[in-house]
Amino acid sequence: MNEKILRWALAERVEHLLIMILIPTFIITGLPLFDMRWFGWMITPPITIDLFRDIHRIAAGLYAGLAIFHVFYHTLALRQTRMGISGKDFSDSIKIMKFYVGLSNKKPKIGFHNPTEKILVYWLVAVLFMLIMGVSGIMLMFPWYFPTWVYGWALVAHDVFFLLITFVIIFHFYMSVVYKEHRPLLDGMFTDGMVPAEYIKEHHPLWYEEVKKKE
Amino acid sequence: MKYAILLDTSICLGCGACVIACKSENLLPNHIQRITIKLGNSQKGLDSWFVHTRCMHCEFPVCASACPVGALHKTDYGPVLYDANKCIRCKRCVGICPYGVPQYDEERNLIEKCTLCAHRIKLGMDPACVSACPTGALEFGEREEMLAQAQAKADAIKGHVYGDDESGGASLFVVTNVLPEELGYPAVENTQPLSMQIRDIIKPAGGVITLAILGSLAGISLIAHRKEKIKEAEKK
Repeated sequence: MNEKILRWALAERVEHLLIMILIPTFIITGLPLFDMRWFGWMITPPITIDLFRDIHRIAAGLYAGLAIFHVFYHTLALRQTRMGISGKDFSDSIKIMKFYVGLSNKKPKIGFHNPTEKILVYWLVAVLFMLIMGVSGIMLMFPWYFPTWVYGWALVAHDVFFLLITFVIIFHFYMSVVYKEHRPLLDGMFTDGMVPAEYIKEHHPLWYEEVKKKE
Repeated sequence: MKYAILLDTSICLGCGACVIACKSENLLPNHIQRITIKLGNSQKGLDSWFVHTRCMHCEFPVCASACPVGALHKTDYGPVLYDANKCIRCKRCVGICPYGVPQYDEERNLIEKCTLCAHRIKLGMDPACVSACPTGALEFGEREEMLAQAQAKADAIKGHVYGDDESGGASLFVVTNVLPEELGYPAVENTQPLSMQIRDIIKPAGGVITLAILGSLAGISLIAHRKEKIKEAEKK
């Protein structure tokens, strides 16, 4: 049985690829300003802190552009994959975490999205945390428009959420690249977006049922 | 020994001699001044009180806490000093100083702020602004002595001392007749702002947590890998 199901359309794969370029760009160009004592070595000629800051800001602009595209693409559109979060997502997400930590042997039946990924990687990191990073970043760019105490908190927010984003991305990387069981998804993301139906049936049974019903 | 400046606004005429002396001493271009003087809020007429905006040389300078490269630091003898060679012109000090002191000079690509004339202090001289003050509104000396004098002067006019408590205790004391905040001096906490305290914790904690996560994930994957191998071996 070599049947495959389309999981990620071309636009979504390109979106993911761009995020994969932009987030490390943010991290690399932001590290020297996060802590110069540890990451000061990154600033050696011809690299200057101004160059890093310009790249950081250009990346921010591109991310904002990508966000606008993303909203239009998924709302006006072309593909809606139940991005909303329900109570079931939270309970399933806890069950999934228990399963991966080894506290349970049963994985809940899930649909298109893995609820843990949807909550953590999509809603928290890609949307909420990045929005906070954007707002606090604008405050740091134009300090003279904000009271000094607001500026201080913007600085803290930019540092804290940078760390939180990094932590979640490490987990995301682990679960998608290192965790062998999820390899078919990884292959699909970086090739034609197709994932074997057998894998979908086993790991995303509710989505599999939907696809079969449509057929 | 720590030094400080005492500014008695009750005898400051707002003449600007200190501003000019500072500019001349530090060879500042026309568009930059490290001291600005303006009438205090709701002050009118001949007995007006003037507000000086100049570096307070805080005990807990937020400019130094926010600086990612340590270009600003508090010295043990009082002044908060700026090192242009270390500075990366991120302008965080401009954004975060509650007194609005550091300025970014675009023309020279530098941060400008008072140094308490550290170069003159080292030669045993008073800061240029103090030497130039015609009325004696500015005095310079050992910090504790200046604080005692400021309190005595404030008591005499039933006024207030600004700078004794702000930012952990500054190296500039201002004697005012009304509440300093009413004149236009910003209300500043005694301690280092909470946001900066948190930042000091975040940086080392961030590194430790990142390493802990990476370590535990590596551990988990090693265990999983071993389990798989054992399973394979059992199958064989």
